Parts: sequence; C-alpha cells; structure tokens
Amino acid sequence: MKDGKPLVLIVEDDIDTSDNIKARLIQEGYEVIACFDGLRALEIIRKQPVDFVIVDLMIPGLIGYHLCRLVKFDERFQHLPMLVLTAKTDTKFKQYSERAGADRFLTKPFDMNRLIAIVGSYFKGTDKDGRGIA
Amino acid sequence: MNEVEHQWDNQEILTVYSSLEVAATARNILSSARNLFSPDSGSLMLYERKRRCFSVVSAYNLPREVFSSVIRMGEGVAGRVAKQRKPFLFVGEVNKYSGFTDINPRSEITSSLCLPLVSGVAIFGVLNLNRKQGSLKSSYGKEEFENAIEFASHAALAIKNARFAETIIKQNRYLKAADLSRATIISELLHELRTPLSALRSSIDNLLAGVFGALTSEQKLKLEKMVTQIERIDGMISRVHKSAQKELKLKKTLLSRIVSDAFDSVEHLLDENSITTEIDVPQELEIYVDASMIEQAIVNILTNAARYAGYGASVTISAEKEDESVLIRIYNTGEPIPEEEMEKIFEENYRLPKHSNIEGSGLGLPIAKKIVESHGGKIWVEPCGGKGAMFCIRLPLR
Repeated sequence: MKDGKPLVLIVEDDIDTSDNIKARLIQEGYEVIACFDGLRALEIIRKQPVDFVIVDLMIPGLIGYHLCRLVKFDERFQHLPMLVLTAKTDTKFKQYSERAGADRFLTKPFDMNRLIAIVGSYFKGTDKDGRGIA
Repeated sequence: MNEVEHQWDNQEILTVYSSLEVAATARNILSSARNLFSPDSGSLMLYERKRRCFSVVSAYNLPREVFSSVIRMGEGVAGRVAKQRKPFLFVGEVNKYSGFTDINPRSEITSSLCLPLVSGVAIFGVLNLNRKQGSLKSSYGKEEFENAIEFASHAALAIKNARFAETIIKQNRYLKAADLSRATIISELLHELRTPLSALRSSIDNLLAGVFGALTSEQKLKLEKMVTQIERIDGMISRVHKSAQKELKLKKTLLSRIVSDAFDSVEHLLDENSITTEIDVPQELEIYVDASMIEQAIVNILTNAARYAGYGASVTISAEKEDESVLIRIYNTGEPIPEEEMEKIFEENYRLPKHSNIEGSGLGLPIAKKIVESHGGKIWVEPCGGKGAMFCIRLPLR
C-alpha cells in the first residue's frame, strides 16, 4: 500500500502490454511499478509493500512460476495475490502455475476489463483512492 | 553389425543379419541356390560399405564359426573374386588357379562356384557353393557355372532392392521425426503471435476505456470491431495449434517391438560412437499406445545418449510392469546430468551449456516429453549417484 493506494507490480517483458496495463491500472486508482525481469521483481517484492503481482510466464531472469513459487513459499508473502499472464494456452501451464501458488491465470490476448475486474476483486470495499480496505 | 536374427530353419540355412529385410532376402537366395545347384555346403557373404569388408550372413552346412569371420576386399578367395568382379568355377584344388596360388586349399572341397553379386559396378556380396568329397554328386561343370552366373545377377538385384527398401524405411522414420519437430515449431511460433496480439488488444481496450481521453461513439464502434477481429485471429491460432497436434492412434503393441524398432532407427548413430546396447524388456509386455509416437520418444532419448554419452559408452533399456503402469528406464554410462538441470533439459530449446557445440535442435527431449504426456504418462531424469544418466518413462497400461 502506497499513499493509501494498492500497489501493483507488473512483471512483463513486452513493453507495450506492460505500458497498457500500467496506464489502465493508474486510471483505476492503483499505484504501479513495472519491471521485466523475474529477479528484479523478487527484489522489489522484498523491499516494497506490494499488494498484487501480475506476472508473465516467459520472462527473463526467473520464469513466471519460479517467481510465484519463491514468493509464495516465503511466509511474509504467502498471501500476496499473484496473477499469471501467458501466451501459452495449454492447460498444463495453468496447472504448473497453480502448483507454483499462482492465484489467477489469464491467457493472451486478454480482455483488459477482465484483468481490471480480477485485480479489483482483491480490493473489495476499496474505492479508487484505496481507502477503507477490507 | 548386431546379431538380431539368429535361427535355424528346416532347411538348415542359418542367417545372421541385423536387418530383417536384407536377412530374409539373403536366406531366400541361399535357399534357392541350394535347390538349383545342390551344393554340399554354401554361404552368402554381404559387403558392408562402411567397414569395407565381407561377412557371412547366411550359411548352409558350415560350422557356426563362419559367421564371425570377416574378409576384406582382395583377401582370401571371396575377397579376390569380389575385387575382380568375376565369377569363378574351381575344380580340384584352388591353388592351381592363377591369382589364387597362395591360398591354402581345403582338401574336402572338390569343386566350388564362387560368384560375386554385382549390379553395374557395385558389389553387394559373394555367393559360394561347394561340392565335397564323398558326395554322390559330381564336380560342378560349365553348364551349372553359366546358370549360376545368371542366378547371381538376379540375386545381386534382390539384395540391392532389399537395401533400397531398408533405406526407404529408415528415411521414413527420419521424416516422421522431422514432421513432428515441425509441428512443434509451428505451434511455438503461433504462440509467439499471441504476444503482439495482446499488446494490440490491450491498447484498444485502453482507448475504449478512455485512458487516453474521451472518444466519439463512431470511434468506439470502430475500436470494438478491431477487438472482434483480434478475437477472430486468436481463434484461428487456437485452431491451427490444435490441428498441429498429432492425433494419437492407440493400439495394443508389444513394448519389446517398439524398443527394438527404436534401436534400429538409431543404429547408425550408436555405431558411429561405438555405443554398446543392452535390452531387458519382457517379451510379452503389451502396452496400449501410439507405437510410432512412443518409438519416437525413445528414439529421441537414445539419440541424446548417442550424442552426449561419449565414445564407447553403453546404453541399457529395461522395463517392468508396476500395478496399472509400465516403467521404462533408459540408462547411459555417460556424464551425469546435474540435478538443477534435470527439469530444464525437457524445456524447449534448452541445452546444457557444455553441449552448446554439439549438433542438435534442443527439441528432442521436449518432443519426447510431449509425446509421453499426451499418453497420460510422465518422463523424468532420476539421479543415479553421479554415475551416468537415467531417463524414466511411466506409461499407463490401460
């Protein structure tokens, strides 16, 4: 939580997709940090009060589900919601992600409204300024 | 050459050769020669181009030891006959013939027909028919010699055709493997398309959501149509991806048969690297699979072993039934796979850093994994105490 707004971390190496998610989330009232590397993401999560993570499966450094596993197996972050985003449509990637502890799964090309709805569902009772978190 | 066919038939013609196609032909040739020319003993030697020598693949009324003798071009009687590409009729002792004076005659043989199997300038083998002392038949004469020459030219063609058929069978296997890799690559490329499509879609979604300012209703309508088109492309990608995945043709098959076919297709690779093999698969064990696909998976693992286990290594394949599944173990005595790499080697285009200089696509093991998983099975590498590498495949029996 930063200035009362939920802080969302986007880990995505496709700049355009990352920029689009970021712009929309900011409009929806979230604070956003973006990076494109799994190891950098881990560093950010450990240093900053991140409230939600959107992670692409195929990212440099540390692939998506390894990042999920490392985050979820750390007691401090086991409740940090993580959404996996991927161009891989095979159900096995969804299974891998779930096994690694990912909470949600979306395949590309995704519907931005759906993405926003998923993120929003984790902050029920929160208005755009992040007040009144449940 | 491995000895895989090794059996006496009722005519007591023994045939030893690794290829069923050529072995059957060799047996037929010797069997016909026996009927036509009534020899007391005889043999058929085939030429191995790679080793540049002749070895006996089929024999009649000769000691088993003849199978282990190897004759070079120009050596012995058969080697000289082959080198000259000229048929010979020997009556009496062979060393009275010019060009053969240094050969030790076998006193029990009274006459021989020694026929090179030639087609064009290519030599395929040598057919040797003998009459012995004490035989009721007389020595071979001119007429039989001429008939035998005619017979040998047909025999050469039969061997040539059998080799040709064998090559086609092998190439067919390669093509099947290549086709499978291509399907995998296409499906990967299609997935790559989803990334730019996603960037496009998210931009449009943002425009529609007014992230970059308000839009007229006409602009919105156009953008919504663009979203529909993107969804259409996405649907096409899914459909092509689905059709690129091969449908399984499941059938009850002997595992031992699949394994021996797999070894046949990598024989040349194993030979090149002097890799010895051992097969320990229960003969009667049946599995319900797409045999050509499972064979491909095993071929890929064997190819890997041939490439990376190192010169002179050995490969062992064993299988056992476990409840409702069968466990296949493929072990090679090469370098062990580091524990942290055991999962990664099944990822597409991943190659062990130290192997980056060895030829290979990095697709062999991922394809093997795809095949095994498509059968509801599992493939993994088991640590074996720093000695060699152990690949395991578990398949449901069904």
